[in-house]
Formats: sequence, C-alpha cells, structure tokens
Amino acid sequence: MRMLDRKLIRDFVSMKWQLLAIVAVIACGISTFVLSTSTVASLETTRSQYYARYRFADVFCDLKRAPESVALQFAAIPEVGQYETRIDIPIRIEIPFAEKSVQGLALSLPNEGNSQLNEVHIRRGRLPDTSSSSETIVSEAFAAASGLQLGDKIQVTIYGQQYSLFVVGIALSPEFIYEIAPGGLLPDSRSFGVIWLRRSAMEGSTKLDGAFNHVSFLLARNASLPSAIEKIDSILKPYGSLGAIAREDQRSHRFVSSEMDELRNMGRVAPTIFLCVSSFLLNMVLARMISSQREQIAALTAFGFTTWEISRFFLKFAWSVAFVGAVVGLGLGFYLGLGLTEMYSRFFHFPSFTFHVPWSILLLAIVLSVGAASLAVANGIRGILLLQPAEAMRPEPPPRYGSSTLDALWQSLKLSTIPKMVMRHTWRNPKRSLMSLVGISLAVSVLILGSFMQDAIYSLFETMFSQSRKYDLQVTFLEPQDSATLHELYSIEGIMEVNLIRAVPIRARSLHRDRLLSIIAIDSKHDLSPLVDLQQQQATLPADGLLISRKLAEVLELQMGNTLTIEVLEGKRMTLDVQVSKLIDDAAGETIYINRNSLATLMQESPSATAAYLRIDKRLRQSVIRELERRPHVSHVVETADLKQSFLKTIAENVRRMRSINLFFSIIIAIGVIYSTARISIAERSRELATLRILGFTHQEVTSIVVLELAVLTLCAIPIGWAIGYGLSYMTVNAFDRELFRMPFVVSISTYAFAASVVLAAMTAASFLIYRFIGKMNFVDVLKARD
Amino acid sequence: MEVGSNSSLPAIPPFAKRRFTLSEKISPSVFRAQQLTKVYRVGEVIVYALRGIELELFAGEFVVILGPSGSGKSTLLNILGGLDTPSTGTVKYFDHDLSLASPAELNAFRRKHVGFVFQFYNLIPSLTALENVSLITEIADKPFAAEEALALVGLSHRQHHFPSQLSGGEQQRVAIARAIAKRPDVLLCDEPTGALDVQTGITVLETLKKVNEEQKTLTVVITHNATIAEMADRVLTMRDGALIKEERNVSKKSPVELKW
Ligand SMILES: Nc1ncnc2c1ncn2[C@@H]1O[C@H](COP(=O)(O)OP(=O)(O)O)[C@@H](O)[C@H]1O
Ligand SMILES: [Mg+2]
Repeated sequence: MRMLDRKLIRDFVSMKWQLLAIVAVIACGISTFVLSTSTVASLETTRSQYYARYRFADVFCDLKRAPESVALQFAAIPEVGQYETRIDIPIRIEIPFAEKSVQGLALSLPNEGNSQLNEVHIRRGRLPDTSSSSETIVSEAFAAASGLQLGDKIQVTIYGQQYSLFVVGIALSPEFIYEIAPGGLLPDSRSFGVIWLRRSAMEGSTKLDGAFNHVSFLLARNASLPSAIEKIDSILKPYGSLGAIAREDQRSHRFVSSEMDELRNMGRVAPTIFLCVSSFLLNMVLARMISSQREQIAALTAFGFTTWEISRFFLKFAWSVAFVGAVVGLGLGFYLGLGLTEMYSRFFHFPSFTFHVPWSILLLAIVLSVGAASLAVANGIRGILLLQPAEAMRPEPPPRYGSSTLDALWQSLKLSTIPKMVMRHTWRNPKRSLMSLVGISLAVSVLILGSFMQDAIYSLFETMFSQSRKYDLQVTFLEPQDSATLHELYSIEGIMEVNLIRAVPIRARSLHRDRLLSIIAIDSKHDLSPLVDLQQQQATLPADGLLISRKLAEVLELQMGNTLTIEVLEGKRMTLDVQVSKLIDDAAGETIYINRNSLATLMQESPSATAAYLRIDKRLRQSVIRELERRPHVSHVVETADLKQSFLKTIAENVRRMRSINLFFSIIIAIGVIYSTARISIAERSRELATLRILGFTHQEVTSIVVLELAVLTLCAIPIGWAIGYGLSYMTVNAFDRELFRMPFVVSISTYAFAASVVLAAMTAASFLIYRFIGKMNFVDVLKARD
Repeated sequence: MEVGSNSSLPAIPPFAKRRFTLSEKISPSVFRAQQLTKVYRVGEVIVYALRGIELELFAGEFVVILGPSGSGKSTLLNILGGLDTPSTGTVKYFDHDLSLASPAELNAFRRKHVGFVFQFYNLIPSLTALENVSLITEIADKPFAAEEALALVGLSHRQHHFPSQLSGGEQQRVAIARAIAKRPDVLLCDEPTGALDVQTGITVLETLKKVNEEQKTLTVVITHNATIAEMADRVLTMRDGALIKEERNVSKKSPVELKW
C-alpha cells in the first residue's frame, strides 16, 4: 500500500514529539536490556574462556602443612583429573619510596615453567628463572596502583624475615579476576597485592620444605563435586585443612558471579518497567489516533479496504515506533555497555575484556520492543473491528455527560465552571484518566527506584564506618597471641584504645547445610567495633552463645535457640555444639560473633587474639604503623581511612554510575508520560477548547482547563507512585545480594521529595507547552477540521 | 450475452462489456430491493428506519432520492452500497443477494463495484488530492490514472494540494474523483452538496452529471433539497422509511439552471 505508507510517514511527522517521547522510553528499556544482558554475556564468555585457557581449578583447599607425599593420594581419587600443590603465604611488601608497606599474598610457582592449574598470564616481562630465589612477578593491578615497573626491586617480609626481589614480570591470574585480600572487605590494589615466586624460593622461609599448604584440583569429566570434596577433605583433615571449597565459593569467582547476577536482575526488572510504560503510552496514543481517524477508517472501509489492510496500517505504525526505539536503544545500550565494560575492567582483571552484543540479544531486543508495541496495538485493532462503517460515517456523538452522585458533591463545593468541567472530564473518561494516573505514578516510582540506591549506600556507609568501625587501625597477627599482647600494644606510644579479636576458621553445620567461615570472638567491652544492624540499631553481644547474622541463619536454616555445630579447623580441631542466642540483621552477610572468653572456654584454651582494633593518636599514625609492622608476629595493618576511601572509590562509585543511568532513564519516563498525557488531552479536546476561546474565554483560562486536569492527575499519582516505588525498591534490595555486603533498605524523605519534584517539574514544563500550543491554535481551523 | 441467464455466474459479472453491448432502452436493473426493512433498537426504543422498500435501479440512470432528514435515505443508500445489511427483505445486485452476503463478500463487492461520495468528503487529510485518489486506484482492477480522474472533475491544477488547502467544493470534487477513478458500476452519493454553498454545489453536481453521462455509471444522489431532483432521470421521494412517490423527469435540467 504505497499511499497508506505515505499516510504513515505524514502521520509520524504530525505526531513527532509524542512519538519521540515513546521512542525514548522504548529506547531506555531496550538499552538497559542490551546493556545488562550483553555485559553479562560478555563477562560470561570472557571468564569461561579465561578459565578454560588458564586451567582455573574446580576445587581449592588451604591447609596448615602437608608433606608432598600426601599429594600422591589425590591421584587415587577417581573424581580428580589433575591437581597441583603449592605454597601460599601472607606477606608484607615494601615498595621503594612508598609511604607504607602493603599487605600481600605470595603464591608459589613450580620450580620450572608456569603453573599447571591457575596458570598465570604474563602481561609484560617473563616468568622467574628456574628455581630463582630473587625474581618475582607481581599482579598487574598491584603494579599499576603502586607504580611498579619491570626491573624494580621490592622488599618482602615473610614471617618476619626480609627478602629483596626483582620484578621480572607483571601478570594476571584467573584466581584474582577480582583482587581482594583474604578476609578483606574491598578490593584496594594500593594496599593489597599478589606476587608469585619460584617454590624453591619460598620453601626455606616458610618452613614448608617438601611440603605444601595449598592444593588445587581440576575434576575429571562428569565427576561428582560433593564426593570429590568429601574425599579431599578426608585426606587433608589431619594436615590442618581449612576445608576444600568448590569454584563457586572461591572469592574472586563468587564476586564476579554475584555481579553478573545483579546485572541479570537489572536486565529483567528495568526493561520490563520501561517496556510496559512504553506499551502503555503507545496504547494511549493509538487509541486516540483510531478514535480521531474513525471517519477516515470508515471511508477506507466503504471503498473496500479490508479490516486487515487497515489494521496493518496501525500495526506498521506501532512497529515502526518500536523498531526505531529498538534501534536507538541498541545504540544507546552499546554505548553505555562500553562505559560499563570500561568500569568493570577496573574491578575485574581479564587478559582482555571486550564488550560485544550477541546476535541473539540483538534479535531479542527487537522482538521485545515489537512485542510491546503489538500489545499496545491489539487493543486499538479491537476498536477497528468493532467499528461499523455505516456508524462511523456519522460524526462522533458527543460524550455522554450525566449527573452523578459526585455532581452533588461538586455542586456543594460551589466550584466555578472551569474546575467543574475539569472534574467532569476527568471523571467521565475513567479509563483514560486511570491510564494517565498509572503512567505518572510509574514515572514517580521509577524515579524512586533510580535514586534510592544512593540512600542505601549512604546508610550502609554510615553503618559500616561511622557507627561500627570506630577504630583507626586493625592489626592482624600471624599466629594467635596471648593476653600479653594487650599490654604490648598499649605500650606503643600513640595507641589509645585496644580491642582484641580472635578469629577462628570453622565449618558451621546445621541439620542440612554447612558453611566454611570464621567465627569472630570479641570482648564484652568492644567500644571500637559496636555491633550495628542495617537499621543502625546497636546490638549487645550475649554473654553466652552465638550472635549470628540473620542472613546466615537463613542459609543454615537456624532459628534463635537452635544449636549450631561448629567444627574448629585449627588446633585441636574440636567439634562444639553452641546455642544461637541472638540474631542480627547486619551489613556483612555471614558472620558469627561470640564472647572471646566464652570461646576460649569452649576451645579449652586461654583467651587469645588474632587481631586487634586500635584507636590511636592521629598525630602519631605513621610511627604507630611503623612500630607495629616492625614486630615479627604482625602480619599486616589496615587503616580504616583507607577502607573508607576504597569503599567510596569502588562500591559507591559503582552505585553512583548505575544511579545516574537509572536517573537519566527515569527522568525520560517521567517527561514522556506527562507530555503524552498532556498532548492527548489537548488533541481530544481541541474543539472544546477552540469553542471556549471563541466564546470569549482567555488564553490563560483555556490553558488552565488542561493544566488543572494534568495537575489533579499528577497530584493523585504522586502518593501512588511513592508506594509503587517503595515496593519496587524493596524487591530490588532483596535481589541485590552482594558477596560482601547486604544493602540496607532505606528510602529517605529526600528521595520521595526528589521524585515528586521531578514529576512536578515535568508537569510545569508540559503546562508551558500547553500554553504555547493553545496560543498558536487557530480556533477557526480547529472547528472546521474534521480530522 | 444474456444477463441473468446463467445463475452460476462468477461473483463479478463482466459489466464493462455489458455497458457497451446493451442498448440504453433495455438497460437491466442493477439493484432490486424487495420488502426492505431496517430496524434499530436503542435501549427500549425501536426505530423503523426503513419500512418495506420496493425499488429497482437501472444501469446508467441518474437517480435522486429526496426526503427530509431522518426519513431513511442514508440507511437505504448504505444498504445498497453494502455498508449495512437490511433487517428483513432482499437487495439484489444483478443476481447477487446482498442481504445474504458475508461481511467479507460485502467488502469485496464495495471494492469492485461501488464508489461512495459522502457529505463531509472524508478525504485523508495527510494525503494530497492526487494521493487520495491513488489510494483507491491502487486497490482497483482497471482504474483510470489518478491524474485522469482529477482532470475529469476539473482539478488537475490542484493535484498536490492537501485537503486543508482546498475549498469544500474542491474537496468534494476530489472525493468524486476518488469514487469514480476505479470505474465503479454504481456511484452512491450521500448529500454530496449538503455542506456546500449554492455555487459550489452546482459545480459538484455538474461533475456528477458529467461522470454519469460520460461513464454511464448508475448514479444515486440523496438529498433533502428538492431542487436537485430536477436534474435527475428519476426522482424517488421518501418519508418515514417508505418510498412515497416516484417521478420521471421528462426534461432534465442542467445543474446551472437549478435555483435554490
Ligand atoms: N445506528 C442507528 N441507531 C439508531 N437509530 C438510527 C441509526 N441509524 C439511523 N437511525 C435512525 O434511523 C432513521 C433514519 O436515519 P437516516 O437513514 O440517517 O436518515 P436520513 O439520511 O434520511 O436523514 C432516523 O430516525 C435515525 O435516527
Ligand atoms: Mg443522511
């Protein structure tokens, strides 16, 4: 139909602004879809290729010390395809000219060649020479953060002894896509680094000659993971095993996976909202279009155009809008995807990470938007089918206005004529008014959804730092220390307050589940690290029994008063049954707290400490740190200020970016919905408005009719939108389940106010457009035109 | 070739041929309505729009149906044109019973054989005059060129104007061009001058007359304006849903001679 196509194009042009608004909303939906699904797909393929190529292990196990001969037993496990032992040790790294030392992890490479499993990818330089004891390779992120170059010399402290090493290579490892210190809170390459040494170089300094303390396994094809883990655990148990963990629980892997889950989630929620809104806007516009063109449609029917030929016109119309939206969305999604990839490249270290949009996602995006458009058109086509050509030839009867019970109310309000007209019009088109109401409330809710993350992060920051980390430094020891440490620490000049902590690696077991984690024992007086929940309420540590996080209780299917079986993974490796005395809804998802004395009693030892929280005189900060690091039993010192910094740089930055994308999109929705509503309101009533103008109503008065209606709808929509936004945000927080943090659920008053003010601003802008539009309206033409 | 002799005639009789082979005197009846009624029910109220219409219309005729507003003219015309169906009775188009036809068949009937002209022109505002005509020629079998149809109504110089840039009379002439461009067998006009002033109305009627004479198209014009009846071959008068009078004009007036 050539002529109908021409009509299509001219109709597009005449409705360009309305259609643009819809295209923008569709584009937002499609771009969030493309952005998140393609990023997930890119991460997924990049990661699995990386893993396959560099033989990332399936199972990992840390242990105290096992003679190399023990490893021979692994070969007898049918599930194990390949294994490799090595030495992993915590170190401290001194970089020339750097202000302070850095916490590090040294991993052994075989004496010759690269590792068999978890192979390192040499970015620059080379592997250390065979059996070299003075050459090392360092992780790329660490090298970049500390300005290390090939050929530089670093000092490392291994168990209190210093060694000089030359950097001969800069590398990446599939074990450290996300490079975070063991037990650390956040990735921070300025304060943590991974280095690799030849095994022979490490054996002497670690007293692990002919022995290993870490082993990785690649499983045989189709092998059962649980049975492999069980067999490995039973072999390594006598050697101080901390329990074998599957790839799923490997820290870096788990973090990347949870990030992908989050993206997947975003790829479902946001596009659904956007496409629903756009389908709904398109539906509104089409309904209006069909009703205003009913005489044209009737004429076409009279001349023998079939219903299909006419419906096809509207389908084409909607599909074209959808298609343009999809194309713009794909472009935008691609552009944002590049940005997001760039951001991920800073957190996730891959040999190469490129963003690509798979064909399937491209197609799906088009199908989705065309689907949303078809949904919108279905309703309109029903209208065409119901249209009787003979009927349609008569001019549309005036809408029926009758008196209703509400009229009595309005009468009693003694409203003047204009508000009365507005009320009647709003009330007599309940379907249309309801649609606008839903549209505007969705805009409000999306604005809340887009900005509440900021509230959550701010609250999390408050909880994590201002309230529960009142210490300036955390010092971690290499081995548990006895109570004498307290005096030793107080004797250092500048240390003002000390709280001791004892962390014990355990396997927590309930009826059905078990979990490898650390139990944290603190003193009943623990002023430097108050226990604060997500609602920023302080909790007290029970004198007896465990305080565990609610999330962990859920995972282990525990309730208050239940008994948790604790298998201690060090020392005498006792198995203890301890009662759960209290639950806490805290930010760190998986923690178990206990009183330090009561833990000592349970473990039948005298109270000891593996770390301490310190409050110091800030002026003496440097000398305190130096003094602490000088002590041989100190593993490393972490400054709270650095943690805050890296929180702001990583998590907060990440959320800020997401928020700005969301905000951008939600503002588009708000404007799109309100503008379309206003335009349709004008179009539907152009005759009425023109008549009023001719009857002598002023430009302002006539404008106020449309604006008042919009204002009434907007004001009603705002509280509804708040409620929907609250619900959507709640759902999002529950889906947002990071490896390291749980998000508190907070929507601040300012977020509600922000959402309302954006919508009101959009309304004001729309009012201005309406004013201008009515000013330009030629009433005589409007009355003559039978569109 | 005998008309109506073959009852298994295909749905589209070869009228074009017939038009040239039959003499005017024995022109066959194109439409034949018998006991036609149309009843509308609006809530409790029952409206008899047509009450037992008997009617025969012949090829090449120019027929005016006269009657006051509400007398059922449009209803009758819509039924003849296949836009509507009668409540009881039969309408035959040659030997095809329109009262038994399905909506799809009626659609095909309109597409092949009927041209409509409406009181309010019903042009597509976003298409130019030429495009409005082309819209219909695109779905016709052996149409005129759209330009030719516009020339026939004297609007060649306005081809590229949009409806909003044309006067009412010009718009109505575009509508006529649109209706005749597919060489319809019948041209049905519902108050074609209803929205026009006298002078413009006359131009439009002249156009209809010209088309009727040159194309030999059965033309039915409905109006409440008795003066227009003077240019018809035959005048049918309606009141309250019934045909009350039939007149044959001995001498047809030309539209310019009409006065109202
Ligand atoms: N769809 C309809 N529903 C109810 N009544 C109708 C409908 N269409 C026409 N009528 C009634 O049928 C009668 C004849 O209408 P119509 O054929 O339009 O008259 P005319 O064209 O002669 O003015 C009128 O009384 C009109 O009110
Ligand atoms: Mg009528």
